[in-house]
Amino acid sequence: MSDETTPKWRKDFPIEWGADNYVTRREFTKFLVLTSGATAIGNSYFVVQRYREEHQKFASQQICRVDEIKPGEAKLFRYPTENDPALLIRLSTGELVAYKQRCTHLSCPVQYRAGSDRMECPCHNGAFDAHTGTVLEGPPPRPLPRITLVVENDTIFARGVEGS
Amino acid sequence: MNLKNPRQAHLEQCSQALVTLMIFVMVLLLLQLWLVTVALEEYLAARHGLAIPTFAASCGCFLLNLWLLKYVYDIDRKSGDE
Repeated sequence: MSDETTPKWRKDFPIEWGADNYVTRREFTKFLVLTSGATAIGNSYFVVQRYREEHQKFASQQICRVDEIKPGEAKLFRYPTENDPALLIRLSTGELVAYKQRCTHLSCPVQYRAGSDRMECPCHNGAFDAHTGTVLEGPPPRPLPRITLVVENDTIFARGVEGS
Repeated sequence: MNLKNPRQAHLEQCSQALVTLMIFVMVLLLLQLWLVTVALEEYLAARHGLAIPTFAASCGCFLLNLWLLKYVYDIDRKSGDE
């Protein structure tokens, strides 16, 4: 039917009544495929984040001199940014380790307990092994991110974050 | 006895075929949503091992959906021809 012979009501209502079910299902299927594409694009966000975190560059930051921290002591510093509190710990064995201070449960600051060589979160009684950062007890779902330390000329430097 | 005209019967057939396609598309979409939740859970746990596999699987589902969409257009063309 040409445009001129088509009545006005047919132009306003181009779908015949019998085809109603068919048309709505067809449009809904197309919408579902569009949503499927959007979901796939949404999933790419995690790939981008993975790439960004893998290629993140950490600056070297001086923390303190080795003789400023004795076995069983901890020192607070901030790394890699001013908003990231971290703990430098000299274990009872003399080994130096550093972790981010935020508990992996709900980000409360963890505290070092020298006697037991563990870090405890006072909010929900979570505890981490100070030697490895692994969870000993409580609700934290994963270990504390560890900060890579380098000692040069008796000075301790932070050089990166593992497992952030 | 309810006798339908051929056009009406054909449209109903097309509708049924569309419902079948729609169910496949829906299942694939649900699978994709599950993949997104898996990737999100991994991301929140600071692990990234599943980011690429879930993305690849999600893209696979989308391509499969596009392939199914081709049949939607095929049905559309046939229903328009008759």
